[in-house]
Amino acid sequence: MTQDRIVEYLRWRGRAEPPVTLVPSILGAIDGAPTARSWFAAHLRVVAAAGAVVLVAVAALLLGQSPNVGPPPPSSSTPVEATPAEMRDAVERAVETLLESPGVRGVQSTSILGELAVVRWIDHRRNGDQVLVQRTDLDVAETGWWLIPDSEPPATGRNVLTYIWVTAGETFHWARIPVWDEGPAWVLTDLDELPNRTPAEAGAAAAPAAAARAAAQGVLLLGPNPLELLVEDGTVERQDRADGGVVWTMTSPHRDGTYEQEWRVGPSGELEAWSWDLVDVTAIPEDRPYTSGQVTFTVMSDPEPITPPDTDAAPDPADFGLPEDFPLGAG
Amino acid sequence: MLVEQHAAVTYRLAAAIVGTADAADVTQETFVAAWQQLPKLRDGGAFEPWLRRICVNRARNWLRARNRRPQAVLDIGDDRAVEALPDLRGDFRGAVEARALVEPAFEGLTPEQRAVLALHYSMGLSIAEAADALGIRVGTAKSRLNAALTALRREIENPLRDVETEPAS
Repeated sequence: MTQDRIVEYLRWRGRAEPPVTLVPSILGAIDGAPTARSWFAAHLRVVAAAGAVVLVAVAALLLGQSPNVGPPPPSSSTPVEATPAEMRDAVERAVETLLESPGVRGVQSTSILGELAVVRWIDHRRNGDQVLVQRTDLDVAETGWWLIPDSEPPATGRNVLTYIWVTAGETFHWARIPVWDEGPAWVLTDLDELPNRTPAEAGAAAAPAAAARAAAQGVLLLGPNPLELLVEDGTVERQDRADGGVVWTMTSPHRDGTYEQEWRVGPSGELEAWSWDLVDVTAIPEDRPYTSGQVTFTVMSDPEPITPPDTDAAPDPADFGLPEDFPLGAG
Repeated sequence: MLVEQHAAVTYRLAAAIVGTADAADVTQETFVAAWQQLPKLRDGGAFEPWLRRICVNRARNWLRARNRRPQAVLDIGDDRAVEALPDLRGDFRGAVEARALVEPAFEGLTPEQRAVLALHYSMGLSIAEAADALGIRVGTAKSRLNAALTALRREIENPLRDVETEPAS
């Protein structure tokens, strides 16, 4: 064992990626802690309170684009039992309502055993135009570390592959970062050449192709076909919110674990957010290992139109409005 | 924005000392303690090193309370564990194998040794900054760092380490 290897290991220990729920959990703990006031303490408290919406947005990976995202509004009712069919109908209507909005921004993240694996930034228009930026942490998503008990990914945030898919009118461009060694950075693709697979049919390794097709077709991505997860043998609860929105939850068996899902429908009937956790599993699925995920949407009433990329310029997600501090940006 | 500004680096320091499994809890404890002790902090500009000291103390206390014996991330006696890893990049297998050796050894260090290694190597702090976080003199920090590295190397080279290890509590 060389000194370099030891130092490399020690440096690796300092590169852990915090869970996206870290800041909200800290704020929650501070809320419940007895306090001793001072001017500085008050300063922290006020700043923390003022930043609560932003901080929750960080947890949801909604950075700088989430006026309607924050702590759930107070509920006006206690949860009541409902049927999976009722929930599925409500969710499908909520998705349709969302797609009818002039514009939608969405931010999605999926994790494997708490490690951030994939983040997506979606900018969707009612006419089907769409920009989708997807960043995948290859060390987390594709090294199979989850197959080894008590293991961790070899690194985090070091090897990030970014795809940009742009559907604008009749054109579909895509690029990847790092760019290819040869050929143009931007590729103009015939939609018929894309693999004809749905996200549900494609495993994690094929996700870029499946996502590309969905992006090209103007499909608002919710991950690997989430409606499949609304199964008939799930236990469903419905909770009406004071603002007219509804929170649906479903607990259902999945392989050797349990899926816990929450779908939030806004007062106007649009889908606000979806989150899920795969818990109590003894073996992580090899083909689709994501164990938790969330996607949150923001409706835009008067969005700018989406235009094809400047194919002479190097692909840069920032050109499409991606916030500079969007997760997994260091790779 | 103090929480947002310092949460990630505090988490990484906690993870470097106690490991990722407990890092979020230690980070949360750190901020709660900081929140409760803020009246003692006169100089707002010194918040970062002050928070770092709290985190180191919390992490050391956590380790003492946990009283957990060394645990290997991979069972290095079972080649199948390493063989099961996909060989996607040249350095991946080597890095995992190195981790499989070093991590159990690191787990066997004392809380003080883990803290000084984490501050200097994992977080990239100078010896003086590490000494400040540990509340010790610079000279003491230097000698503690050397001793920690020596202990780590000794742990790595100890073939009976796993045999001596009791089951995790």
